[in-house]
Amino acid sequence: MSEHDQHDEAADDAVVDAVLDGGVPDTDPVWGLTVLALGQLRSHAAAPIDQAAADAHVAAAVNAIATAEPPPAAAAVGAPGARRVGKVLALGVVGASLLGGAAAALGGTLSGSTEEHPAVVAEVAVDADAAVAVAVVMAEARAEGAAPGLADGEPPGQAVADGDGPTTGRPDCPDDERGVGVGDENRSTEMATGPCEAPGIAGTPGEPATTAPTPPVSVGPPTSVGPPVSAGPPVSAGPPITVDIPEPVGRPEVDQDDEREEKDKKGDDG
Amino acid sequence: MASPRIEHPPERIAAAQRGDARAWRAIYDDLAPAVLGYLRLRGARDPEDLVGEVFLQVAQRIGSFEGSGAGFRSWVFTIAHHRLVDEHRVRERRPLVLVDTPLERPAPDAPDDDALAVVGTEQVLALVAQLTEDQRDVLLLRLVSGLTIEEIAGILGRSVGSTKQLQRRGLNAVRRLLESDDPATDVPR
Repeated sequence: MSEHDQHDEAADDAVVDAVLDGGVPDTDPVWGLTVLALGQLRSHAAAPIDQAAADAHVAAAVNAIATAEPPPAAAAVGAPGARRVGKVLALGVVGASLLGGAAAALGGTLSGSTEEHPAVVAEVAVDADAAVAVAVVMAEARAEGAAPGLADGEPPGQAVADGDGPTTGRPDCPDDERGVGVGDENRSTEMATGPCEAPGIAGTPGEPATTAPTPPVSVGPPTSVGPPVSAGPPVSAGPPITVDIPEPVGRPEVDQDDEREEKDKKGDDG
Repeated sequence: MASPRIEHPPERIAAAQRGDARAWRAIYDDLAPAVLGYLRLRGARDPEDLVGEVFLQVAQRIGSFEGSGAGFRSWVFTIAHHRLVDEHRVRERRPLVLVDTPLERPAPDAPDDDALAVVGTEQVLALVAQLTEDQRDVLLLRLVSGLTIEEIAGILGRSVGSTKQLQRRGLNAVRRLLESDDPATDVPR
């Protein structure tokens, strides 16, 4: 690296450090203004997630469920921001086991391991977008007592076995006492039983889901919430696409054999 | 001003890998605003929603993460950048809003505080929108996300030297725009 390059690099570092530190470099006024402008950009970008707006979305969704005609699941999905809020809350706030039980009771698909709670939540959010929104709302409503008919109702009493991991146990037990049963290789939705302090009873193999105690919310058929939302295209590091290759302009391609045949024919004629 | 960069200790990352809610909360609280800021300034159509997607992916893949706290931050921003690229691929890209307002410049002897007051946020956004996409990526990851040149080079798949060059050109372009009368003027890049 040349001395000139080293000097330039040091100057760049000084500007960047000044922006990161919130200071002003002791250089010429235009660089000072540059630092201030970029510092303002940094401040603007660092605006926190608007928790009040998120709370408002949840409240709207709770209200939609509490007041709408069936199916309430569809109403919650239609609430502005329900999906986004569902995901954010699922990751940061809502207990995964409660969410999982509620989502399953609402007909959402629950895949992934319940052993790793965030992963379960992630799967619920991706595979059963509608269910997660409702489940989050239910969890919020239960916690806050915000929605009549939801807050005080018996939570969905359905154990969820995902096939290879523990079940979520009894959702009506306190978080720290909730039993954890061991699922089997096949999906089972058998009711978890047993005292809160004890592990839940393992699900039985591969039978169709059994009916759980009726949750306090009337739930529409799963089809009413629309198709499952997919996770989107896989992540890749390649360059952005949108490459439109124009049609070649000019002489159209001619099959050489045809051309040769044409010449031969003319030759024969001539 | 943005909060200082936090390095998550390995124990916290390990706890998050086990599904510890408090560890997740700490990680989310620290990184989500920075990820949101980066996505917002890079023109994501629904940045809040994309933040959710990013952290879903973080949650799904954290079991496979191995490395330091600094590496974790870089790893999260790699996911954020890739999600952004994917979003741009499937949607028509929405450019940053250009503000057709001449940049108000301070009087030559105005103190710096006054200078800050007259460079509005929208005007700063207009300045950044004039940069090339590569320059914008580097500057935003450097200044908004607080990543090092080496980390940015890894995220963008570039050499460290090339990343430094992009940073220099980006800084110089912003400076030239501030010197010019109109922030929307094309800048030599």
